[in-house]
Amino acid sequence: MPNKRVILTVGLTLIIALTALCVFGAFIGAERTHKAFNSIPFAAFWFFFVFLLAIGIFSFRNLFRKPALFAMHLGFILLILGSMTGTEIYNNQFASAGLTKIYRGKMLIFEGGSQNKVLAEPGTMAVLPFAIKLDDFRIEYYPDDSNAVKDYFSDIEIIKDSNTVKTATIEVNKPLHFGGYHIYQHGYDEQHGRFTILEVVSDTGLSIIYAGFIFVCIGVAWHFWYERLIKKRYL
Amino acid sequence: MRIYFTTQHLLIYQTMALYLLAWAVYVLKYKKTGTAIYTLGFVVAAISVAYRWITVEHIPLQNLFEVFLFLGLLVFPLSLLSQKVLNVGGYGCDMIIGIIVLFPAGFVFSAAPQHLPPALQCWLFTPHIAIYMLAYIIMTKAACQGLGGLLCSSAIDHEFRAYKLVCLGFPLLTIGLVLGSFWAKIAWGDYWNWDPKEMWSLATWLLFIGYFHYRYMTGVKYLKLNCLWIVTGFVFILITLLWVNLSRIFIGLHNYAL
Repeated sequence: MPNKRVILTVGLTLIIALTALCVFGAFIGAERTHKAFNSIPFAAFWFFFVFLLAIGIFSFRNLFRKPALFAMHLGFILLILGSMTGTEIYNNQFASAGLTKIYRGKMLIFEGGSQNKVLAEPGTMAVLPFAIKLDDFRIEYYPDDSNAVKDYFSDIEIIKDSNTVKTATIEVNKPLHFGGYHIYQHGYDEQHGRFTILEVVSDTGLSIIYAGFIFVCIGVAWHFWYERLIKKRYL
Repeated sequence: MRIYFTTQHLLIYQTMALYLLAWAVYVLKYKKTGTAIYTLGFVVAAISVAYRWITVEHIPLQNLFEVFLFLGLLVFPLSLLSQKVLNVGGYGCDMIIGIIVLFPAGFVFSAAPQHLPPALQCWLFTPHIAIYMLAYIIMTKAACQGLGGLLCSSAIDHEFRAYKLVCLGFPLLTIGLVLGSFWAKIAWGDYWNWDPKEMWSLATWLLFIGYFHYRYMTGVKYLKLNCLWIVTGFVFILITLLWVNLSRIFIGLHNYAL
């Protein structure tokens, strides 16, 4: 096991490096940042980060003995690993192994019609194991003369083996979670309002992320508020 | 920059005047009277936020005007909280912070009421922004102590007060970030969108993590450097809150917040 001081110094260096990379990312725009942070060289950085956190947990007895400290560092490991399982590269590994799950894509459905085809990102068609039927697409406006949109709604049915298994209304900020996908209100027919565009996003890796969120939040609140400020254990 | 003669703006100017008066009385050592005027300023600030709420018919945290109005309300509860929980005073400093944050709301930002667009209609709207604003105002107070530590010859008290304030604010920074991410998944389909505001807020969060690790490593050996971390954190917050929304360099999903 390397010396504790070395681990801390390397850890602090990684934190500062990541801070600087985030600032750099803010300047180059979302699209290029997304690509850079999800690239193969960057994956090495993430693996090293997880590796160092794991070493840290085994080397520092406090990280093991104090549940709050353990929770926040474990949470951070979960966030890095979880976000890796949510990347396109990771998901395409499964696709090539024959386990087809659509990573993300959009579907266009006319009112009264049903659809199971998804236009995936690189311009390829993929097929969902269920179909979505659009009963109605609605737009609600604010009740004044501002003409401002209050919300967009798609009343849909999920059809599996020609049976309706679920009816739901998808609106902005209210996606439907079904069969391993989140289905979002994405767009509509701006001329005649006859069709809706839904976005389908795979939920792979999401539960790991949420677990990471919970661990980090509980750990941080417990450590800083309870241990430090209430119990006044400052060292 | 201009003076506006609307009820809303007059309430803001009144709050600022009360905070200023409170500060003047407070530094002249009439601490009780100063605190009483400060309380009165808080009441006017609360009326001001309530008035805005009624005008726009939603919780006023949508744009920079409303957010700075809200920051002007938070200084007084923060003074009480840090006095009671952390044993850190600095009321005079908080009054000045109150005046500074109300200035852009009173004289600079547009107060035109806006409808809440569909993307903002979610229960997470209020907690995400309110928690962030509370974190930001706490970190501002921490940065004042940090600056005190940098400028004074004996930094030890300032450094410790700043540390306690960061301990109070950092979990809020974390919860704000997590709630934002959780909301982004619901509203936009991704829990992280690599948007400039997200990148700056992550950088801010990481910077404070860097501070905690640095302070764990060196303790109170380099007090000025500890203070410098916190002041840098405040600069990052300022960039996240203002520069990202006001400049054309950082176009992204959070731009409607203007």
